[in-house]
Amino acid sequence: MSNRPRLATEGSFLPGVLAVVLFALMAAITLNTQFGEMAGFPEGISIVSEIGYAMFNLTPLQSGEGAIGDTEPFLAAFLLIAVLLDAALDASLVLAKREEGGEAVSPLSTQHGTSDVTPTAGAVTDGGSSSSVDADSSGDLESNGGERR
Amino acid sequence: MTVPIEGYVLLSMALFCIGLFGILTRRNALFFLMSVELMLNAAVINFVAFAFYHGNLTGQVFALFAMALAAAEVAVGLGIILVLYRNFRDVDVTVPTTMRW
Repeated sequence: MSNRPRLATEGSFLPGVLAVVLFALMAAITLNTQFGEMAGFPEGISIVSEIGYAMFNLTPLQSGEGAIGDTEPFLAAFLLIAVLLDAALDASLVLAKREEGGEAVSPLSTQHGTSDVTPTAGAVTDGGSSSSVDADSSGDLESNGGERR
Repeated sequence: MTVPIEGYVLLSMALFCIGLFGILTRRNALFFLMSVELMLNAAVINFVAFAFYHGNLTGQVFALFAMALAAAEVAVGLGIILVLYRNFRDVDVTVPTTMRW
């Protein structure tokens, strides 16, 4: 029997009515609001290059008169997001680390004894269990983050 | 032909409310994560639409940052779900109650 997470279909749809009511309310407000015309972007200017110049504070390279104006520089935000992505990577690694017998097992370390394992031995990498691997040796081979059962 | 701004706002509202519906009715943590992504992408649609509305690229650049933020959020969220499944053998968000009070 597989031990995959089951889809939880139980529960009430009653609180979901709240979301539908909210949509109806917001749609009524939007349809009763007078918006102006779309300003749009001028012809003949590359939007992608303008985004790139704005992202790296390259204001001298931005298009001049009659072009897309008032785009703010975003270099500081770019660096902050870079730090944030780094922190998120570290956080996900910390969360994925598992402990076996009080000792932390690094998720990125190579499994011991992988050199003498032939591919026909069926190293389990897809989260399932291979029938060709017996119960005792599957603990060394599995790389799905699951714990030994 | 230019789509009026109301169309974009209505699309974004629909996406946001679909995400809210998912959060209110589902109990699976993976569905929670997907619903939060839908709500975040509704905000991104608004950023891009109003950037075009004002003839200004600030909203488009900010939308890129919002996508990077979504990627970071998914990384941490999936890590949390992994720990949840490892500890409770389930991804039902109503099962872990030890941190509730």
